[in-house]
Amino acid sequence: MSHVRSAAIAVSVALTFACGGRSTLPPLAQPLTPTPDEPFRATPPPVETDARPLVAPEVDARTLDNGLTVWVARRESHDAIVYLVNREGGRRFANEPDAATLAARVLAARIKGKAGVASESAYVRKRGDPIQVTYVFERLMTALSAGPVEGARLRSERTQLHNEAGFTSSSNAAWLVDRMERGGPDHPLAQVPRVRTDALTNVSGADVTAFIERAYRPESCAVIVVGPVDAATIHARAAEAFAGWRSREPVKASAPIGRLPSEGGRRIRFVPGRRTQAYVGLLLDGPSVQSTEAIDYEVMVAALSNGFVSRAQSRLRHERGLTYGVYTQRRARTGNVHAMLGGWFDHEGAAQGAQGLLDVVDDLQKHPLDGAELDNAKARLRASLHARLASTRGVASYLRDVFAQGLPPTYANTIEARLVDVTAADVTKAAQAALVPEQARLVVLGLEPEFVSALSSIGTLVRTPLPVRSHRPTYYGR
Amino acid sequence: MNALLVLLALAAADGDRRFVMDNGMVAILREMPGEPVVAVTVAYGVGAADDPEDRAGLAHLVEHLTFRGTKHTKPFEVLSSLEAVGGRDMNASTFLDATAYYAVVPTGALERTLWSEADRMAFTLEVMSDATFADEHPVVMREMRGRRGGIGGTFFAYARRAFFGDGHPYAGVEDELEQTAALTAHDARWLFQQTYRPDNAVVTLVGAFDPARAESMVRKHLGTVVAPAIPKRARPAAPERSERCREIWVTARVASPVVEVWWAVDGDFDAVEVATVVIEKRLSEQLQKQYGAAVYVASGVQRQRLESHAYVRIVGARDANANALKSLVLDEVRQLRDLRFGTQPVVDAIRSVRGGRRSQEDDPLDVGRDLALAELGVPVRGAVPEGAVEVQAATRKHLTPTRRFVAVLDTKGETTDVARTVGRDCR
Repeated sequence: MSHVRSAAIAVSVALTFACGGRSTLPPLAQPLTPTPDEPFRATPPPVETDARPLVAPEVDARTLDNGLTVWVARRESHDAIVYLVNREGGRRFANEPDAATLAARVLAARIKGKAGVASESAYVRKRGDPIQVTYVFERLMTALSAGPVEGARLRSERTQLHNEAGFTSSSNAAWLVDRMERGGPDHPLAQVPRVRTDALTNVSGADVTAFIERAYRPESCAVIVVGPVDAATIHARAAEAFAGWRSREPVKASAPIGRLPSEGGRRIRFVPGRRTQAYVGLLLDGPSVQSTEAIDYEVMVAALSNGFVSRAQSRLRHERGLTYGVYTQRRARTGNVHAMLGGWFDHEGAAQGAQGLLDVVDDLQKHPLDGAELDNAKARLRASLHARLASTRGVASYLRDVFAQGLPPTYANTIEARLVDVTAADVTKAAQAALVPEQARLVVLGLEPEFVSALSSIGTLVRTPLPVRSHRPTYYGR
Repeated sequence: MNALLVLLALAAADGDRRFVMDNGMVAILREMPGEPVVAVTVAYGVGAADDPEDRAGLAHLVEHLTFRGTKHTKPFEVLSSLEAVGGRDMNASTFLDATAYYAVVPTGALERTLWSEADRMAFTLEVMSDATFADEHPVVMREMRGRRGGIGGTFFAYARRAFFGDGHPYAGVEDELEQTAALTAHDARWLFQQTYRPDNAVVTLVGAFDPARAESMVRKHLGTVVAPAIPKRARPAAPERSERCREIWVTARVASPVVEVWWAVDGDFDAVEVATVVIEKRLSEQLQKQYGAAVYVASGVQRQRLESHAYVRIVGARDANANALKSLVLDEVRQLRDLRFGTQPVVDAIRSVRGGRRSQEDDPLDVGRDLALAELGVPVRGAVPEGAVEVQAATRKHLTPTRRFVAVLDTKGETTDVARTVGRDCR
């Protein structure tokens, strides 16, 4: 009996080794496809044309005597959304960029809302019961004119910002490199604003107060209301609430961040850090959002990435399995759009990824899109705009963005006609304007020793450590 | 179990058109006026919890492979063809209990979408080749490394295993990446044949459509798919539950501590959700805004077929005291049990949860996915409680020491590896 058992164990061990330590799953049942392959299965049914027009939300737009823009869009929904958008509230308009961030956060805290701050613009948002819109106006006006920002509120916001600094995301770091490349290392916006502890400490309550007083002027701001509200009533209330907001001279800003440098050769900025995969991003130039070429650029971005069947996804993901996905992020700044085409790669595949991104743009510069690629890219743009304009939140954020970019609320109405006119040649031209391959700028974030030497074959490698200081949680001012 | 039945009743509401087709597939149609689009969801009763032994990641890999073409379509054509006609949000998700494929398409593309989903179910297996496997397997590996790598991922996976216990279908395995790396094309084909079958699937349509016409399309394309002549695979069951009251400490060289407090929950999900929101908001006010001792506070109820749990999560500020953070969470629970801070925070949390629900109810994709998951036995959102008393009662019943599990990622480690200690704390 014992030797029978031993033999069984030996067979079991042999099988285990043969199958790599795992049992083998049973064979498949036959037939593999029990469903009859009838004619209707082989040919996809026709699609009825999607006749939805791209229509901008109906906005009742007015300007108060002090220059404040007020946009009201009525939509059936449970909640109303109120935005205060300041085209000149971004970090470029503050002597110390963090003052702009703190200002928006303090204003948001005063109305119990949310804040967002970019290089150019800033916003404060409050979402809630439609009957509270008037109350939100009053709170906003009080927040803007509340005087010195000091005490617990400033400490709270500064402490939160400080603590978040230790968690600067890879995306923030990559965009910081973008600003370094475009604006030069001395540009105020290339100064590691979210992670530089001393700069944060140096921003006083007086700085924040002064920034609110100077930069939040009615001429550069809009109050946007979207929800189940009566436009006439909202306009009357806005006129009452914001009448005391005085006009002011524009704020002096630092120079806008421009196009990528046209000399110096190909450069890769390497940001060392402990990451499980490496992020590789390729910086791209774009036209002004107000230009006629803007739509060509948008189609180019859609054809290049973001969709499952875009060129970069097909080449780097589907064909080579180098990454889970390639995406383009974009920032609309004064002058033009800046974009970053990038993805996460295993460290050993980062150099291949970087070269692959360059190749895919190079290919688009030389080989025009085919008809299906062009149609798909346009359809994707249409669908994303349809989706955005289908919700109250989406409409509100659309209006926020068009105001911040100096576009009219009716901007969406112009898209369809411009989209139809975009040709494959236009897209090729946009790709050629987006990148000069010999002057390409890339950002790579990842583990230092693993792949640095492989990257240097692609371009000049510039090690760019971002100083995230080790510090204890600090309760400022206590 | 009764709670689950109540939730299921809420999931498929009056006015929905629900029918079971001859091949066993369930369909639920809900009209939602507004934009002329339909959210189409096809969900299968197979998820990560159904991965066969030693084959972690298999359900997820199969989900990926089904985009690599069918007998009638080229790789990714299922996506490109719908994109070309104005579809959006096309993707798939592998949950613990289900795998769902979804898209929002113009109403005029509904039949085309149903055709694609029927094609995926009936005609994928014969082209799921070694070559397609070789193309997609590295993509899945890269996705997993990106999402689960690092100390944070290791900590969370360890906490999950400790919470559910070895052998539980939700526990996961320590060598998940290695197991996924060792998967074969045959593994994928086998699981697909076992589980991608009409009697293990649900289709939901939510949006603007003609119900009679939509039903006829569903019956034509999905109702005629034939299941393989093998018995339906049994789904995993939950092992007997022992009391929780466990605590694990994981130390590593990290800048910030993480505190996770979980409670096993078997009902009153919505009241418990409100309770966790009360705790989250109060902790956020103190830790983030007042003292700057935390950078992130979150909460929620993870609703799952076999076992659900509530959680509160804090990511501390640099070098914040993990033990103090943990004590604060437990203290907040004690205060909520007795409503020591009055009812206003609870009323605020109810309002906040209701607000979140309203936007979810406006989204056809969210609604369609919930309907499908409910049909597969996953508890879904029900009615938000009316008042503080209900929330207090749910707190007393569910957020108790014996149901509690605490996992702490502490900053005192000297290496980048994690060191673990496990203890008990039933106080």
